[in-house]
Amino acid sequence: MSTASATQQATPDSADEIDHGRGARIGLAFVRITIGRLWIQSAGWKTPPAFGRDSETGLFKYSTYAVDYPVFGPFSWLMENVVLPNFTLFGYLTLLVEASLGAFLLVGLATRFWAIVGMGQTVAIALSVLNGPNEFPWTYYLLFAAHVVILVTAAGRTAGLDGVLRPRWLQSSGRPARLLMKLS
Amino acid sequence: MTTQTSTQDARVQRVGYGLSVGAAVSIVLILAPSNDAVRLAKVTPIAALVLLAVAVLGGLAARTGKAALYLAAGGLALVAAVLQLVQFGQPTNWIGGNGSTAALLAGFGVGFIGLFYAARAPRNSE
Repeated sequence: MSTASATQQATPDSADEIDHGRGARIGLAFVRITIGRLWIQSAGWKTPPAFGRDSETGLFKYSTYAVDYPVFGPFSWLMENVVLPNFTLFGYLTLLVEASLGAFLLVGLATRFWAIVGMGQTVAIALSVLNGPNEFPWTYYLLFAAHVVILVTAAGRTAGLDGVLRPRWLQSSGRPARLLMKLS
Repeated sequence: MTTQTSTQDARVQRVGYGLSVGAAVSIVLILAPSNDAVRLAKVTPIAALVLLAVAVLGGLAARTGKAALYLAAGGLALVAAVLQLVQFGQPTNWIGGNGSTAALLAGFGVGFIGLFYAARAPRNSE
């Protein structure tokens, strides 16, 4: 071992402090909670039972953008032939998914799973509205990026339920616990 | 493993206090105008009362370490969330909120139920 590498091991590298320090942990928790709040607010304007279909507003209006201002042909076809004819079911699914995203990301439970769900939901929204009027595409690129950060850093382990529950799941030999270890 | 246990208990307590403060702070949203940009969630007077009760129960749970109090806080928030989700958009809406109210309450609900599980789960290492 060279003198230089021995010195490196003895004193913590400043890059490590940036990667794992208190500031980084607070920052990750801040990103997760902020994105959770975003989905919570988003669940507020998905109003059942019509979800805007009767007045051509709200979720219905933005969903029709996928057909009127297509981004990706097969997705537009899916929206026109599957989603819009069954809009009430789709509306309730959207409300449930977005409310759950908000709830679970807020408290950091099964965070990596919900980060993947958030990435999927972001892609679905982007494919619907990206070419719509008054849309800023980078909103969706940044939202996707934020979920990637939450996923790869397992952000629920910092100031979240995952950090508290993982030691318990680790002690359990049950299948749900093993699954939750992967999802957190 | 007493040290491990006390570290884990301290972690549960810290998150318990964090969630309680979060629930209490969320009550401030009752003052937010209906302008979407600032109102992160719709908090009605009844929702504020529920959040206050959840914050008090959660704070007491964190202070005493009693798992049953975590269950009470989480159960109350979760019941209110389900009620809000079912009644949102219907003629009868007891809490008076919307999907954001349900999501906020559900967050505190699953959070405190998770802490209940963490506080009462058997410790094999002991």
